[in-house]
Amino acid sequence: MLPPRTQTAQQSRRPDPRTKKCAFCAHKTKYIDYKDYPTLKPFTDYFGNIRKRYYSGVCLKHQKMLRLAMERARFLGMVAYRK
Amino acid sequence: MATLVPTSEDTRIYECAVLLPYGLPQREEQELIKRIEGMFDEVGAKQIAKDVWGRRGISFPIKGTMEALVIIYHFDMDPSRVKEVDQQMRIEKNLLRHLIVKPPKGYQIVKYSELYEKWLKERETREETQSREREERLKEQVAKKAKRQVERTTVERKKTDAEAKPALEETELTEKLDKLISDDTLGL
Repeated sequence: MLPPRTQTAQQSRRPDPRTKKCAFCAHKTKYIDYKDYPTLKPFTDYFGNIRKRYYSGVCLKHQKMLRLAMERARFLGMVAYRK
Repeated sequence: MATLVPTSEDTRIYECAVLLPYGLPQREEQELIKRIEGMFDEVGAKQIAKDVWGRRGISFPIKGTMEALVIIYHFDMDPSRVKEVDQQMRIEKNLLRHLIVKPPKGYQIVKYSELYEKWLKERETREETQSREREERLKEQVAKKAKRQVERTTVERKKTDAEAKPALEETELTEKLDKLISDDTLGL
């Protein structure tokens, strides 16, 4: 049998990634600009890939916009394809 | 800033981003920019906005350069003639990249050249705060370690004291044994 979890262990656990909410929906964004580097940057990981929706909490509508913006930004050399 | 509205029904608004190589002689650079604007003029496009970002680092080398000059134009032009401009831009020798995009309805022109500089300054401050927090955390860790070490040494001292006592008893025991052995009355 597993020992019961102590309270300190529960507090230090990571928050559930499924409970996150879309950051773009909160601002009611209709279009994600490929020129806006500061907003694109946090949605890429260390290797330059776009973060999965599961981890970033972005809704499908905005994820598609984000992908388009990221592809345009990559083409213009603002964001790296691969680190 | 006002939203973009095409002047007539036949035209649309287009956004064009252009990447020029940085480090060209000034005359060549200006000629190149003139040529690009000339392409749009030939087609009858009306320039609405021009945003010069200036020197920018690129994330990967394009034609051997890691730095580029970025200019973003907004044009009001005939949709059927976009292809011609695109074709001409592709032929242009000294152009690194170009991208023609239709901005969505209700798009407002934002000058990202200024915003980017602002963001750079903010990022510096953010990094400073982060580094400060990291140092504080390290200091706490060092203090904790020192405390732990002090505790450990005290425990070890106590242990050594406790071990020393039975050693004394052992000597007493050996003395007693010696006495017993040396006793003549035993008759071993």
